[in-house]
Amino acid sequence: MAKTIMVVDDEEDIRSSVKTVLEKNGFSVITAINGDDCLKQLKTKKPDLVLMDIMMPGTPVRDVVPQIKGKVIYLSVVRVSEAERIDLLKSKNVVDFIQKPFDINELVKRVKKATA
Amino acid sequence: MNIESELSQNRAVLLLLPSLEYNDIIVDVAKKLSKESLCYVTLNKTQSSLREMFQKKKVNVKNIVFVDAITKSIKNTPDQTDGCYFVSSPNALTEISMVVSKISRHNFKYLIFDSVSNLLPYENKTTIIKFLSSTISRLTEGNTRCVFYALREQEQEQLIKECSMFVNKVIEVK
Repeated sequence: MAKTIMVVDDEEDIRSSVKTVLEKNGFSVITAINGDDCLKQLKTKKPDLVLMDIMMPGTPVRDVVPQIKGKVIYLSVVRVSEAERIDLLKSKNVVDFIQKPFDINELVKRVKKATA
Repeated sequence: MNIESELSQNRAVLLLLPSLEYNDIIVDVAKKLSKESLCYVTLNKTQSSLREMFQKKKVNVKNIVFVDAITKSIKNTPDQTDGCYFVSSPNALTEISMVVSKISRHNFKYLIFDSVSNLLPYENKTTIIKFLSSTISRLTEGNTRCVFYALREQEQEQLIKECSMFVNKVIEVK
């Protein structure tokens, strides 16, 4: 059965392009427009992985991510220092950190690794 | 572009930056302006990442006080540490205004606002324009010279046009 990925991003372009790419690679994709929408949908949906933009309007991700039970990969247009990146990866459910703009093949590779 | 010379003739300038050279340009400008006291408002990088980047390029970070609108969204952070004020997010315009007001009393020679473009996902153009206009008036009354960055992109043309009414000069960096 196809693994399900939830793409959480306030930018419509990113949501739709990542959705298209992941679906072409055999994943089932659902989307959310921000952290609040993500948490609302997670009450009824159980994705195998959440791809979460780190900076969105609404509840900050530092409060959203601890409420997610499954694995999370951060997608970040925001630049963080190396120490901060390491710190973010210490959260028990955060498995990767991908800097935007990202290479599509690299994204797919890391999503496959996280859901293997 | 000689930013120091531009700022000796203009109280507030808007720099339109190409996205590919963005990081190189902001380092170059920070290096020049950090010879004097500089306040750096960041809406797209954490202060820690800016410090890391600036230190690698030998920018004098000791002369810089940061206003960081990013870090609080991603981790628990105090309101203030040595050399940095943290505000809750890039759309916390009231908080940013309050910090800028506080800072303006310290008579910084320069202020860099990085960037106007990062306000767009959060606020409508009218709110952004009102915010920028009041910020510029407050800072320039106190004699601080301001640099506002914006990405040179077609979809931001209207915002740039409106911003240009509040600054003394718009410089397209090539």
